[in-house]
Amino acid sequence: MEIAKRNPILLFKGNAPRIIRDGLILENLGKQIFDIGRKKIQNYPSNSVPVRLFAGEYAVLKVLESLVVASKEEESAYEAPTARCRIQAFHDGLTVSIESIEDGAEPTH
Amino acid sequence: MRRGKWKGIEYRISSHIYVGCRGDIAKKIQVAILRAFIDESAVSVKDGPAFIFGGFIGSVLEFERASDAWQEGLDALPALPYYHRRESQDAQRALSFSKTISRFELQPVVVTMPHRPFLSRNKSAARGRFGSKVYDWAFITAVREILAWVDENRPEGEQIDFVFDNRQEFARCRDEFFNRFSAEPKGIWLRAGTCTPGDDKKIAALQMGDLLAGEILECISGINGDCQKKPYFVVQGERPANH
Repeated sequence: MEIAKRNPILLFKGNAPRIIRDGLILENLGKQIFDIGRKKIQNYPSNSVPVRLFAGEYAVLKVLESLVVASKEEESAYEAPTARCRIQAFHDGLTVSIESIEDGAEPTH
Repeated sequence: MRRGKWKGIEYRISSHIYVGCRGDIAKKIQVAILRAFIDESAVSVKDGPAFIFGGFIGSVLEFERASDAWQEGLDALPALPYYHRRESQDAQRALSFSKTISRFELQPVVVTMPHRPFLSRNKSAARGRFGSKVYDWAFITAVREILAWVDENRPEGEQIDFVFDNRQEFARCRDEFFNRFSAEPKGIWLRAGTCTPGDDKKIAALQMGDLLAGEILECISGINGDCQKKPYFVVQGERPANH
């Protein structure tokens, strides 16, 4: 490592945000969070769920935008095609709360 | 583009303003302008367990000096048109280039981003979406961490220009991430200058980044042993890419 002799290397060990890690776990389990509707949300035991990354059409993009903007603990709200969500960013990732569903169903709180 | 405020007036100047300046003024500007040249390695999981960005931070003047020395290394027999670690099997040549780099005041930077979380992504659903590839998150990490480092370690008002090796993913990351945040800068984004693509076959500083990224790939792949434990690194810790 001759390169590092003069100046030690700044090593930034990045990791995928929890939104991706948990999202893929959910995906692997076949749980569809954003593609769905009410039925599957109701089946989900909590109203605060990790969001799934690669299925939710533009909702995913919005989540990612919020995720990048968010620092420490912040909240932002947005409307996904099927659900109104509140996003909370924490030090180690995000949680997404489903507040209401587009077809008029009651919030899952 | 460099931003600043003088007597309450915001101004922007190009980082190439020194071209055409009087020699001594140009030199002062060159010293003050920071650049980061960044190349990638292990783009696919077949290449290694983590995607790697390797690069250097330094003044324009120092990069120009280092690039001249690098070119001398390329011209040495057998002459090479450019250096690419993957194509070069010559370990002595790599060592010689490493020694060349270490002669200059350039800060090496490495970003690693594991491939594993991205392996089972739905490629068709994710096509064209920013944030769906390992490159995107490595880019986010690289830009944010380098800006934070500049913010902590360099004089107030100094900005940094980024040059990434040109890849298909680059433009999307620049447009969706860098340009969006640097347009209305706050916090570390006040340190952001420009973000442009470069050709690693033509820009010596990107070839230096390629050499560094290749060495790190060997490290984390275990080819050179567990060199992360050796005191070559200032490890900035492992954290999710969004923070």
